Amino acid sequence: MCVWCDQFAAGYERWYFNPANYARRLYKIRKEAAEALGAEANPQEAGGMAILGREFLEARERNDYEAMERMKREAEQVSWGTHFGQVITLDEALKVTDIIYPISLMTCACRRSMVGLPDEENFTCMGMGPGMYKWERWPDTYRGGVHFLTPDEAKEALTKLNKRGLVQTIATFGTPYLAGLCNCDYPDCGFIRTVLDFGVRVLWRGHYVAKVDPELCNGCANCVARCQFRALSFAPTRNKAYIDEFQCFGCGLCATECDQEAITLVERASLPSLANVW
Amino acid sequence: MLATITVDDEKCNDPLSCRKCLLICPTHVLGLGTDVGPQKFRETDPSHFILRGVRFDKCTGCMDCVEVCPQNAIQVSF
Amino acid sequence: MTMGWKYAKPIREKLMTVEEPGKPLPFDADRGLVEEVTARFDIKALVESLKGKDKKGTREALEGFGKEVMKLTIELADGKYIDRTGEMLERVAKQTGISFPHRLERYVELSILASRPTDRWNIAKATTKELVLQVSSCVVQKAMEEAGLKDLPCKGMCLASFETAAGKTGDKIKIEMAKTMPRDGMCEFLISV
Repeated sequence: MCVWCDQFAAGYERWYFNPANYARRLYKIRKEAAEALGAEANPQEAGGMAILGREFLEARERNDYEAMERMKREAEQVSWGTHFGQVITLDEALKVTDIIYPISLMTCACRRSMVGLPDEENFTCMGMGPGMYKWERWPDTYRGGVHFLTPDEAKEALTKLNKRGLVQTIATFGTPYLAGLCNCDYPDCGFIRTVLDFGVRVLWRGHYVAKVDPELCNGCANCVARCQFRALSFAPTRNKAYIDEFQCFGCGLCATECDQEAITLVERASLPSLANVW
Repeated sequence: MLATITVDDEKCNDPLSCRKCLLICPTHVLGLGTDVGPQKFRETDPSHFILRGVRFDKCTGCMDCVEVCPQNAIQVSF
Repeated sequence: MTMGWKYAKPIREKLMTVEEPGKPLPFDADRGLVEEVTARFDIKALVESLKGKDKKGTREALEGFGKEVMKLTIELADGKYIDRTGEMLERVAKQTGISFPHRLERYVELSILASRPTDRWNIAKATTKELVLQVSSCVVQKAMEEAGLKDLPCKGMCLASFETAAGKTGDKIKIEMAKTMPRDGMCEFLISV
């Protein structure tokens, strides 16, 4: 069972299909005449340098597993309460665009931090929900500006981002409030990098696991480059794609690229050994 | 061995638009941040962006960043 | 119809950027709005005035009150006490062509904050089709209890108020109530288009 569904789905199939997790009040009563500069913490500060610092890497160097575990646990606790993500499929992301409004296209803070990607090449992220009306409060988060999309336009952009090879993830900003629909890849997404390099679960696996049908796979290997999670490789002796299902995050990027329909997404919960691997 | 990476912020004055080191690093070890924290109602001026070594575990010691820097601002040691 | 979006590029003519860097913008509701509306509309006095009124008179008084509170809220919220959330929300509606739910939600929220600032309420759903508002502590209920009045059609006040807001935004809404106070411990309004 996905613990987030357990806590926040409220009868919906997934916690990210529960509209309550996207809805918030627009207003509170202003405290002072003019809003003070920099008086409150930025709730949407994302990207930045790294979730775990050098002390974690040093602990790893000296095989200090106890210290590593402690730092991992602390980082996860902070992340799960404030800002973490879960992988979703393209179909799920498209469905989300119908229960959330407004949706804006914005620059990706991770890619700005990791490779200094210029704003005009970096509109790959989506901010969602009533908080977006207040984007001008923290312009650094929305560096380069924003524009707003209709649900249909958001679907078009998500489909294009998926085609390009980016993984759709949904992110909380004050759990369980969901306000980010990111389009991620290794190594420039902070979430993917942290979970793959350090095993710190700031990004949760999705509800599916990809499976290859060897009868249908024609060995074209088009899917192989699509995997951002080191779960997919090519078996030359069999001339087939190979998926390590224990490593798979269930994003479905391999499946959307396969024109033989040889890759299907299986419910994680239906596989006893994977049902609790998140 | 973990690399130690130091950046001379006086010399490295506009890493956001230069970004030569960020692009050449084969394992994306370096990262950009700011020295002022998030600003309300304004974008942080590019002069406040700073470059740092971040993912030291991935540094191979190839020295490409050191060589590509037009300001000689980066030092890598082990 | 597609928007012809090119990967990772902004659509220039739609892009909004910071207009006056560093200038503080008021996103929250203005305290002045609350003070003016509260001064003009006294819920306790309204409930007192219902004593001895017949059914029809009671209903009309409640609905009239709701309507007038919303009218003043709209006038002040779009005039003297305009806030940046409201300005941005109108721009976004223009950019996407979608009015519901937030143009209506704005007036609904501001009217509650302005006339009943101590109420406890929550937005449980806000999609382009449905808006769900839950009110779990209500000053009207409390005033009725104190005045010893029971079973008044107080929902008429809220419904008339929300309808007035929808008249302003041009949303053709339908309102259902899944829960009502005091029976369910909260009033839940499902507003749909």
